[in-house]
Amino acid sequence: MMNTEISSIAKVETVKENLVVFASPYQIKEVARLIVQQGARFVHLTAIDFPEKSKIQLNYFFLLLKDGFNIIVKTDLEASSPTISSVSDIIPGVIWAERECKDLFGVDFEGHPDPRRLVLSDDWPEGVYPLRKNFSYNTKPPIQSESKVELKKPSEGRTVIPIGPFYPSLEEPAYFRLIVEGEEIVDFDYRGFYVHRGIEKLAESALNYQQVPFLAERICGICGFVHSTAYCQAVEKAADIEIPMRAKFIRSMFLELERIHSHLLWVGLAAHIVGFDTLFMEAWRIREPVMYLCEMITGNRKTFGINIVGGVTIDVLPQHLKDMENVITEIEKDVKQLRDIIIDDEVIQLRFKNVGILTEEDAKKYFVGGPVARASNIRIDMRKNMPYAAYPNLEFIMPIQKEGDIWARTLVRLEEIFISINMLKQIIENMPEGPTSVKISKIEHWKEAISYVEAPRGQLFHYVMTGPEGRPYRWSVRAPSYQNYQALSVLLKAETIADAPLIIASIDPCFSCTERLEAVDLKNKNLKVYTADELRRCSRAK
Amino acid sequence: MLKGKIKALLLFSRHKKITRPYSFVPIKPPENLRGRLKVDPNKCIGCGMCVRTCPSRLIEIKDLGDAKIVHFSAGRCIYCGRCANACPEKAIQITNEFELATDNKQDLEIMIKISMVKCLLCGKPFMTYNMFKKQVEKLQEKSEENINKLKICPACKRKQ
Repeated sequence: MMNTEISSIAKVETVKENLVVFASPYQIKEVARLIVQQGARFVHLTAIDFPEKSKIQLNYFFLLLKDGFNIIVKTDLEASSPTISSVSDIIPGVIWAERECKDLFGVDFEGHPDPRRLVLSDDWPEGVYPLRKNFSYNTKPPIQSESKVELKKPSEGRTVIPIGPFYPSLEEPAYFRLIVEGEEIVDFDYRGFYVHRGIEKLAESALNYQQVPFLAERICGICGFVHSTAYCQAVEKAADIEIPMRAKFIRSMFLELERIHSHLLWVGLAAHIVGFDTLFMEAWRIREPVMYLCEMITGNRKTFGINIVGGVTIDVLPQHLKDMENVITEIEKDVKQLRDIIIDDEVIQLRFKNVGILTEEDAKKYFVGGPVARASNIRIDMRKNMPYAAYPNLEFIMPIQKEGDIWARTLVRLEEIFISINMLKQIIENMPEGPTSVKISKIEHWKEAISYVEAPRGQLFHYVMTGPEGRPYRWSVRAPSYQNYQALSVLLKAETIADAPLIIASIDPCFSCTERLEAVDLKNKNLKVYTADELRRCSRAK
Repeated sequence: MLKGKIKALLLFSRHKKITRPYSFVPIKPPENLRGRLKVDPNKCIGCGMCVRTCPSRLIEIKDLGDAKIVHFSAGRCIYCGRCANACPEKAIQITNEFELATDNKQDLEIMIKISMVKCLLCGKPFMTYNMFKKQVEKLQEKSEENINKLKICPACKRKQ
């Protein structure tokens, strides 16, 4: 049905499981409205530069959950002056993606509510767009000394409470500015991307297909395996490679082990923030055997480095499966006790219940995913909606909570640990025999594919367009936290300052995932943040 | 409330000390932990497979004419083990030695020199000595004539 409606205004093509819509720039609002009305989820917006055709192609990615297929809306813009109207009034979740496109490709979005810099550092020169193809990956542009990024100014009678630029409890660089009236948070501003490392650019200009998985795995320090899996799946889809069943099971196995340790890490951090350090240490003690297990099987406790295009590089021995069974039965017992302690604890309940509420409506508006969405009564889980790896062969339920507060998110995460343990038991039972990887031959050029992985933090999206040089022409990553962050403006409003760290932590933000380039120095004199020169002078004075 | 606290106490007191006295008492890492690289200079034939597979692009082969230098800037190594996997001669090994902290980056660098075999006719170095050794081993009849045949470069062979 949707097909016909859109095809009345634009050219539509079906490529495998994707519906590709070619729209003119002036139609973009109309097309976006039509697609969102059908209940499609906005996933990401990214651009691709084609210098020989002197055009920049915008790609809007949507996902139709109920039918399980993707919609890609493609729009060609002139590379000399790429301008298009912003769709942020129809899709509020697009704001960051549009800012990113402006920073990295120089696309102007007319009518954008907040056209400030997002990704690039303050000293990055105007008019230099790093993801355009004529920008070489090892160029060092001249430093532009005066500060460009304006931070939100509070109006009369309001005060700014800065948290960061180094976030205290999560120990990662992020700068939150809470604008408060008395105790109540009325507005919020975020300046992050201090750890943007230009990973996409490096992959597109220096590495080959088999090298990128190792780079992808380093996007995140906690849930790296989801990134390498998503990348490999995308290339395999684009090149029509069918990987062995055993490889699929091994991937699923590590994805679930990663989910267990990531959720336990979060439970620990949440307890740490409310001052319950005994629980924090206990949660991390339970987590440790999982890390040892991964080290034993893959040779690394984190960043397993086993994914390549075409399968996995290691094999799981029967002894490993036996060890795993012992570990998961042990931690199942421990997590049960841990859950009882959390549920019985009145102090935690007082801190968690009715705080940081995300209503179902808002969750839909910002297209959040993962445990945050499931705690707001949204049935979304990429393992169920778009099954990948071994998930079509595994049985599991989706834990749903209705309240949408921090307590609901905690319960969902705790429940998911048990579900993952259950899935691992199924994997041990059904692990098929066979090879763990297939040899890949030549990968065709100009094929594109989308792959989703349900990361511990939510819906992870990777897009790959194959290129003629034996490497991806465009590789785009949208981490789950990228979308979940944007809902923070809703979460924090009308809450108190004391709850802010906990609310921010409750979406389980991952800064390095979100901010896939180089070091930044912040030069805002009002805040008395040291500039790079001052720091250099300080260090020399010693 | 109290019941919960008692449960918590029971769980928390079950384990006494988790932190291991590492560095005072050494740790034995798992067998297949991916740690320091070990390169055998007597096996490397200088084919360059590792150069092409390394994700961090840290392996370099320099041609010095009568020798080849294989240089691993292992300070940038991510310990993925792809080079060890790709090596046709199993010259690269990934060991489970993990205590690599050092205040001198040079400590981590690996440099091996492989000498080259010169062509008997034109005198140009054209093949690594290890490769030559391997080909000699493959020979069924190890007569001097056959061995000398191997020492002729492809260009000269074509002329013959």
